[in-house]
Amino acid sequence: MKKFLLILATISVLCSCGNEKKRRGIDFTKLKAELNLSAGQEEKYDAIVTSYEENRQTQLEELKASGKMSRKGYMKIMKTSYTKQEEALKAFMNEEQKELTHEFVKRYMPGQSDYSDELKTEIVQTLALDSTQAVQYKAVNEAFTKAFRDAHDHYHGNGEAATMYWNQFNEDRKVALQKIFSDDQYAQYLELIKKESYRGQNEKG
Amino acid sequence: MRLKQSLFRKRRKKESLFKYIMSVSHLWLGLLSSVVVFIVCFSGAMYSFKTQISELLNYEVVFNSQETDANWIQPDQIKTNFLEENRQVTTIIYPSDFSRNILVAYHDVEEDYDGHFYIHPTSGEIIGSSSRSIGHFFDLMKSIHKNLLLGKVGNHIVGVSILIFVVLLVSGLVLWFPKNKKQWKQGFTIKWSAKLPRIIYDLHNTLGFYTFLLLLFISITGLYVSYAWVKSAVVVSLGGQPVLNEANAEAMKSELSNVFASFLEESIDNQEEKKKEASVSLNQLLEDSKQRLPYKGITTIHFPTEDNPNYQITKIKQESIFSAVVPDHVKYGKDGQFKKLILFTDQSIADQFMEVSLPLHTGEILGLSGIILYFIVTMIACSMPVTGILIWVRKL
Repeated sequence: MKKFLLILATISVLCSCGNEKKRRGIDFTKLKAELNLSAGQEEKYDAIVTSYEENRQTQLEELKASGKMSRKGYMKIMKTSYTKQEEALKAFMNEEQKELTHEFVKRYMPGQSDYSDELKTEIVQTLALDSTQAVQYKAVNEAFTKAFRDAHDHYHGNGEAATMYWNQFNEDRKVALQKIFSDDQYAQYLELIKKESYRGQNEKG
Repeated sequence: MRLKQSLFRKRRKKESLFKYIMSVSHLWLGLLSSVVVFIVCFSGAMYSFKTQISELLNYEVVFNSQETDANWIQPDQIKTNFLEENRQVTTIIYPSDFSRNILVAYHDVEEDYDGHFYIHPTSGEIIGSSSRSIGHFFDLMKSIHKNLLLGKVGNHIVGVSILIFVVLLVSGLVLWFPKNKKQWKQGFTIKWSAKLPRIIYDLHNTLGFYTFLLLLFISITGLYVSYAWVKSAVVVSLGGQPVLNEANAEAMKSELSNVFASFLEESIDNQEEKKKEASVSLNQLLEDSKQRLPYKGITTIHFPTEDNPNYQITKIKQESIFSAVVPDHVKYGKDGQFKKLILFTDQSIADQFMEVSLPLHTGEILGLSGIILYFIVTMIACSMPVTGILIWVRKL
């Protein structure tokens, strides 16, 4: 009997003392491994990462304390902070490292489930969309974002389902864009989105 | 040895096989899930009063100390007052009566940050913002409730334990079911004058019976949040769309394309709306919404945003203690033209359930009275593993 109660108590303590995984964010340790930094660069890199991490935590604490924690508020802090951090990191990097850092931050930016604004702007420019097409293109992208967000109640907490919804709505987006773009523009579009082919592959739900 | 005998006891004379299986499974599953059920119920009960405690901590700004039934300050006036300080109003929340102050959320144009203020409901004077918070404590309770602070593994442990708890509730009801007239009386009352072991037994047996339905409901709505298959099963059983998976992907394709098409239509409409430049009388919009939603309630005015160029007024009924806290919406274009009235009751049952699944799980659907009821029931659930183990230990 004593043994049994001891086991129960141990499970209870284990359950209470475990560390919860930190909130989603960009893993700068992973980026560091890819950058091939010199000793001097490494020191600056670590200092900037630590400083921005602390600053983000402080901002999030303040947001929580205000009682107005929302997804929108959280994302605004994260995006602004990561963008500034990227600039600070790029200040001591060579061109290749800058490019790697930019792509990494863009890829893993929290809350960025659709193609980046950078790619969307490039699409408008490269395809030379006229003003009507540009407005329609924006509307189609908005419809994609809203449809995917609206399905959240269905895929919440289920990464596999989230990926399936993303791919389904992306197919619908392609069908809608095919009607707006000329054949050439559509072919160019398909080529350009390959740059961010990782989108929608591993949605977290 | 006695432990082994207790866990693997033989079927008693006259005990049906069904009741024997229920009894043994109730013991095993109860022991297996006891710690997790206790922790999950306790943390859930602690978390339930988050809003109320936060409001009490900020009592002087949330509540109106000079309560008088004068006229409400009009939204146009609030907008003007805030603009004078370079603050763009994003949301105004009017409480249902003068006991509370009005909450105004804004964006500071000069310093580029979002903030909020409580203002006096009549004069519009800024009272302050709710700065006192014990958010850390409630965040901790929420994490423990959802995953025992163990991330995804914890999610599964909680999910499985609650599934077991559902089985325990059902087997508990089977075991509670009285055989004769004397047991019927015992099953409904707690004999406080009896000795401690009997009181403990009654607390487990009788309180378990009284809370059975509500605990079953809370558990299922909790599982709905944790498991996609439970969500899918519940939504489909209410006539809604199942969660997309490999098996139904082809069948759901056209349905999802229709969903996309409706959003595209809305987005194209929004692009047109964004081009409009018109000055809108918020006072008129508020008056119009009162006529369309003629009941007492909390009214929220959402201003147009970059994503959504429409005005939206949301109202939540606050007429009786047990009235359901469900939202109705009125949409207006950027030029103030009425666009759509979205009544909660007009939605499909599946959509209604999805919209209120969280307040159904927390009790907030019935306001403060619901939260108190859920708190009591959850604390009783907390006591179940304790009284259950005490009953079992005594039998050893």
